[in-house]
Amino acid sequence: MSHVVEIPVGPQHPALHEPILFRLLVEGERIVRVVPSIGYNHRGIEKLAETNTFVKGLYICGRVCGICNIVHATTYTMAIERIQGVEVPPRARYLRVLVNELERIHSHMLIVAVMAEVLGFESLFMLIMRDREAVMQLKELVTGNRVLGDYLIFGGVRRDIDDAVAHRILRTLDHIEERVRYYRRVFEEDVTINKRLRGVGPISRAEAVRYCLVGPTARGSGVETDVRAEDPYEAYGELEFNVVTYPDGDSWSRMMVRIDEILESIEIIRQVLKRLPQGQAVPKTFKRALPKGEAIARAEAPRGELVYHVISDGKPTPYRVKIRTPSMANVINGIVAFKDAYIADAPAIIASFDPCISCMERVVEVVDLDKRKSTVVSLRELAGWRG
Amino acid sequence: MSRSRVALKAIKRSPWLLHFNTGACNGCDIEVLAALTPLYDPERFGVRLAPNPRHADILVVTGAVTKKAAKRLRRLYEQMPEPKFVIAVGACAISGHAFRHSYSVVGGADKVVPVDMYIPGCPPRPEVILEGILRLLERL
Amino acid sequence: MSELRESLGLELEEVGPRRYVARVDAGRVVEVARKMLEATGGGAYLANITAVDWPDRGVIELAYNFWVYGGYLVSVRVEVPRDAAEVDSITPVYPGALAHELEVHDLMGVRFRGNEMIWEPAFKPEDMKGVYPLRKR
Repeated sequence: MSHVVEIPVGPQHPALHEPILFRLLVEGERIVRVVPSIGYNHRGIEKLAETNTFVKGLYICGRVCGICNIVHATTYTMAIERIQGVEVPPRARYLRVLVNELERIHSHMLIVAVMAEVLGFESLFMLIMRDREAVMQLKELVTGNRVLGDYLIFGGVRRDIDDAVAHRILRTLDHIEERVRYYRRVFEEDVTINKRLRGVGPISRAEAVRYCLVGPTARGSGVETDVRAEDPYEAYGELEFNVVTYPDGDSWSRMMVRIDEILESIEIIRQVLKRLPQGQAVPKTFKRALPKGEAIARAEAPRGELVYHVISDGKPTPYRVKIRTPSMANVINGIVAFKDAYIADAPAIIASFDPCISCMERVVEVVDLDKRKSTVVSLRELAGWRG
Repeated sequence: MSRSRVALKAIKRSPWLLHFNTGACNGCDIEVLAALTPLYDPERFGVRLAPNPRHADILVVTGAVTKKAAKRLRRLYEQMPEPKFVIAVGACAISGHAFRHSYSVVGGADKVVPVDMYIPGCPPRPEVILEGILRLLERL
Repeated sequence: MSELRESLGLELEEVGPRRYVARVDAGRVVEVARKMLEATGGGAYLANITAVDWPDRGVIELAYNFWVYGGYLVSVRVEVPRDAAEVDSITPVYPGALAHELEVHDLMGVRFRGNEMIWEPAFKPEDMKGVYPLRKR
């Protein structure tokens, strides 16, 4: 017995009406196939990047995704800098790592909160969001804005920090670390969370490679790949951190990777502030000319590898800007995880990919093959699906 | 359908929001979400999310309005019973912002539905979003 | 690196730190994809396909960017004629090429032979079927 079930899925909150995320073909309670329905978020950004100067491109590309905007700005800037042959001073490289890691912390806390909500832990969701506010305030302290930092500029960053800011960051992170260790215990020990996530949506290591998955979604299947370690950029080559992997490839593993990564990010920021080089971080000007050339810049966004392939033919408007976001790879290709899963597991699988709609702007609907009926349900209702 | 005073009074006391992302970077969306968390305490104003369009009083629109999302936006608006209001949150919902010249973007919520309140920002802070909602309610 | 060169059997041009470019005929795309999957050092995955329109040369260039685990990006370049833009799909080797082939088809109008899962319009608005916005003209 199958019927059409339309699932509206929000990038952050299940009860929010967002572009539909998933269309699952189901028979009874089992998912047979996943058919993506996309395009609600497509803003034609790659075309806009060709018709605007590379300078405006920085502000356009920094708005591909609000959640990981700093990583987009970083990767785009790196590509342009490579084409221009610009060297970024050490202090600026360290500050770029600082904001990129703050971004990772807030983004991971967001999806952990959302996962809690999806599983019905409303109070856990609220607690994590409250703690996350402290990180948003740190972002504002450093970049001047809570969400969209516009912090990078070609050749450096736009604002420097002083000792007072550094001290405040360290103090806040001490507190965040304590809270995240508590949340880690909850995810390890809570009976319901374990029941709902362990063994759910398994992806083998071989599948993760052939389906070209990236980030925590791949690392949760034991693939030891992290752009910061394999293809060091900015100051990552001079810092010590672990690449977090978990072997089992289920939704639980993917969430644990992110929780542990928050703790790694806190350590990275501590190193950055300890070793922050002296010198100029904010450039007085930047090169207005974009010479002929090409660059492929990669960075580790919270959701995985982000690629900017930029080609210039010598004009101030780039010839081609190709943006490959991690969610684009993970969410479409991650349909392998739904094979034979229960409908009720779908929200936990979806959330475990940490899909960023604006990054990948994909949408999926669930279609039940037998009854040919369609029902609109929220993620929470889906999670409690009784058929 | 006329706006009855009783209905307006009810909305003023406890507005139910319906949030719709028409093609946004999610920056505004996470600040709308943040505005609903304890730190900003929207419940003291009776502000809460509606379970579906037919229970919603205020449609909160984020995003530049892609052509594909425009149809859904219109449909959602029509599903809402009167009296109803629309708030455009963020520069994209106001004008399309950096994306307004794109081949896939309509550019602004008021090209599709009537807008009662514009909250500028990229993104606007949660406090400002809440204030915008309250100012709209004051006008009723 | 020399082990990698040997196992891939391709001419690799170093264009930057950890960045290599290889140029092959469009007909060899599936064969090269298979070599990448089995490459020495744990294999590789397809990070993305960058399609570039070069109308003055009458070609569309496809850059298959593979990340070899451990530390190299190998950008495999093929060219197809603009007015007959098609190439074999590598989804038999990398099912994960689906997302990328879908996007290239939708926005650049390249056909991927053998990929039955592509539909159009996918990302772009419904009234743009047959229109490829990333083409220069």
